[in-house]
Parts: sequence; structure tokens; C-alpha cells
Amino acid sequence: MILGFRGNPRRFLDKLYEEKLPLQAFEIGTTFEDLFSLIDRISGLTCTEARGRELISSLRERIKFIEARIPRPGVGAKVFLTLYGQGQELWTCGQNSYLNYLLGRAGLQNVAADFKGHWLAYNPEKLIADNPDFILIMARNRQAFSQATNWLESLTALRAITAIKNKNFIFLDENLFSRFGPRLVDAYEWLIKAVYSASDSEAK
Amino acid sequence: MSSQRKPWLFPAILALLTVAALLLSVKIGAVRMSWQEVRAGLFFGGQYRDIILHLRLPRAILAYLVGASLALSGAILQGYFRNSLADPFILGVSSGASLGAVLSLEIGLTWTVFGFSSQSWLAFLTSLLLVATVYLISERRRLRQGESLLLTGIAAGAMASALTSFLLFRRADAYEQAVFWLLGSFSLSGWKEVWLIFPYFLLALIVSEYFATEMNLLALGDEVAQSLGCPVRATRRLFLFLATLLASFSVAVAGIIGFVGLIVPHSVRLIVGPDHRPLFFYSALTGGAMLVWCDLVARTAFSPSEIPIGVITAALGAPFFIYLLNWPGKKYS
Repeated sequence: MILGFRGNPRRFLDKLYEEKLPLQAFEIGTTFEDLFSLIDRISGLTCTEARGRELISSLRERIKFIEARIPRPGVGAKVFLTLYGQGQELWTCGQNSYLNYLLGRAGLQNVAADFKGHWLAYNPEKLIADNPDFILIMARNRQAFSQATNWLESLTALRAITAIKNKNFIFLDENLFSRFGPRLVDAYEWLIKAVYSASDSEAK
Repeated sequence: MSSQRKPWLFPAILALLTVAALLLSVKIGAVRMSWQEVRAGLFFGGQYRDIILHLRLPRAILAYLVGASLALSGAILQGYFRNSLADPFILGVSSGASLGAVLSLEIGLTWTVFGFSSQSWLAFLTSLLLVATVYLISERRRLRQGESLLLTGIAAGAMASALTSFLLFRRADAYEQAVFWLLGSFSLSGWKEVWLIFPYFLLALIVSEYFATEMNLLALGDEVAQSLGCPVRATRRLFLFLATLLASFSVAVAGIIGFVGLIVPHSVRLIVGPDHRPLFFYSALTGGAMLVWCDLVARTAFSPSEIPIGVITAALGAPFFIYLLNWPGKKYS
């Protein structure tokens, strides 16, 4: 059996279909419910329904536990999520991305939430106008994260942004946040812990 | 042609277009503001000071300098090869730069030196290295030097492109970021990029103007130029060095922006004629103005997202170029 994603080049998937290979292609979802139905489908196809159900239920429990930590859902800080190592662009997640869903669910306001698409190169002027409280940086490790913060701090044009002025940078482990799978729950936990402990320390 | 009857017309139109482009670049953007707010931001530190003084203004000036550098580089190389299809990237500058940029993604380099990313540095160095290699190889060939250089450049460029494609094929996830870089952008460009490119551009413009008469002699053929007292080999080396560095600096600060170096000198030659003295000067000024207009479109058409400027230069430049090629008033060969 071949499990494919719609993110794979279409011509590869078509070729596999043409060869009459047992291909199952899935859409990448945006919500936890999409993730659960994906796990459900894959467990059905691999005859591991019971383990699939078990995994879904444990993930649901964990989400409930994690969300208990959110102090005031829906009234969170304004955040800008960006990827580091993408040249001189401020790549961020738009309306149709699962990351936007995670931010919203965590009670945070993604400044790019109004813009369609998964990823977009955000206009720095717009970022200055949005003035986020936190900048979440997806980086492969702490060293890359520290390079990213140095780079952002070196940009004179962005110096007035609250997040930069107050050094409110949050490290997001790229390995957790860049895959749509069960590890998304780990990513969610990481996000909530990081943002709300930073908010708490800022409030103190 | 009209420029012969009204020599002031072209400079006047060019000056008007340049001033309009620069003013609009400072006025228009993702954040809307009035002329009063622009004036306040420029001179009195108003609400939008950072946006105007540290984003829009350096970006517009950098776009101007990159456009001017690419157009001057194109004009030099068209004269060098006596071929109006030559452009700044013909000797492999763009292929070398792409390879460097993608290599940086592949290795996962994320360091910054003097405010410039690893991608920019690697792109700059590989482009210079490739052209230097091309030059050294072509010097050893028995073909006429211009032809040898051109052919070696094309072959080396193809090899570098193949390597780039291979690396992108291996790292499908890096494709999107690489494409954006390869198509050029002025996003988040600041004064440091302006100060990096400005002294070299100015020097290259002065030197190329000073030696423009020698380039006119080279246009008659190496033997004729030699017999008229032109030091052919040294002049050729000098112009090749100037053109390559102009293109490499542009690539380092803004990525690869095609078409400007091809169409601008070609179009300007239709207006001012084949004499390299006005051609170098007006090509630089026209290239600068053109790129400021293109950048304005690139950052406002789909705001707040930006589109790569290379897309705009190609989309606007290609039809214009086709029109020029079929222009009935074309007088030079």
C-alpha cells in the first residue's frame, strides 16, 4: 500500500494511479478533527482500528489537559509567526494553514489570519502597522532561533514593533510544527506553554 | 529619429518618470498614507517615520541602483560581445548565484555576516567564481576570445543550472523559498544594501563612461581597434570585470532579476544610437527608473503579500521588447 498526500506533486500521484498501484492519497487538513479523521482512515486501511481509536482518544485527552492552561481563551495576544532561513522575506502562515488554526485555538490572534493561503511573504509595512505582541519563530534549533532574533533586531525599520522592542520572541521547534500528524498536539502544547509563560513573566 | 530633432525630449521624459516613480514608491504601500503624512514622515518624524525612512525610501533607492547596475552591465556586455542579445547573466552570473543560493539552503546555512544572509554571500561568491573560471578556461582556447568566452559561459551556466535543479529536486521543501529568492526581491532592504552597491555602481559608471570611446573602437572589431591604438586585451578585461561585479552585487542584494539588463540597453540604443558614451549613461538611468516602477507593482499588486520582482520585469519587459524589435523606426544594426 502507498500512502500519499495531496502535497506530493500531482503528476507522481497520477503516475501511481495509472500503474494501478494501491495508492491512497490524503488531503492535509487544518484542524484537530481533520487530524483525527486522517488517523482513523489510515488505521482503517492498515487494519489497526483499535490502535487508531486509542491514539485519537489519548490525543483528545491531552488537548483537553493542555487547554486547561489557557487563561482567557479568545482574548489572547497578537502574534506573528514566521519561518527563519527563507532569505529576506517574512514568511508567515495564512488563513488556510493548520498553524493559523493552532494559533486561533490557543486564543492568540494571528496578524495574518485575514489572508488566504497556507503561506505568504508578509509585507513588512503591514507588520509594523499590525504591531504584534509576540513574534513566534519557527527554527530548526536554538542557534538558528537566536540568529533569527538577532536578524530581526538588526532591522531598523521594525524596531518600533512591540514584540521586537520588548524582545518577545518565542522559539517554535520546526520539527514539531512543520508536519501535519499526531505531533501537532505536541506542537500545540509547546505553543501554549511558551506563549502563556512568556505572557505571565511579562505581566510580572 | 525624434531624439535627433529634440535632444531634450528623452532626458526630460526619463527625469519625469524617475521622479514620479520615486515619489510614488514613497507614497504607496501596504499602509495607506496621505501626502501630508509622507512629508511629516520624511522631515518631521511623524507616525510613519520608520515605514518611510527605513522601508520605502531605501527600497526605492536600492531598486533604482540595482536597475541601473543591471542595465549598465547589460550595455557593457552588449558592446563587449557586439551582440544586442547579451545580458548581465550571459556569462553565468545568474546560474552561479542560483547555485550558491540553493547550496546555502541545501547545507542549511543560516548565518548572517555584516547584515547579509548566507544565501546572499554564497550567491555572490559562486557567481564571481563561475565567471572567473569561465574567463580562465576561455583564455586557453584557440577560438576568438569573445566567442570562446560566450560559449564557455553558456556551457558553464548550463552546468550550474543543472546542479541547481538537482539540489532542488533533492530538497522539494526548499523549492518555494528558493524560487522566491531566485526571482528577486527588495523586501526588507535597508540602507546597508544601498551603501554596499552605491559606491561600486558610481565607480563603474564613471570608469565605463571614461572608457566608452574605447568600447566604440572595440565595436569596429579587435583588429581595427588595435590599429587605432586601443589596448584591446586590457580594455576587454576591464569591461568584463566591471560588468560581472555590477551583476554580482545586484544579485547579492536583490536576487536574480532578469530582463532589465537585456531590454533597457537595447531600447536605449534605439533612442540614443550606438555611441557608448550616451548609451552607458542613459541605460543606467533608464534601468533604475524601470526597476523602481516594477518594484512598485511587485509590492502593491497583491498586498500584503509580495510577488517576486522578476515576475514583473519579465511580464512587462517581454511584450515591450517584442514591440521594440518590430518598431518600424529602428535604425541601427
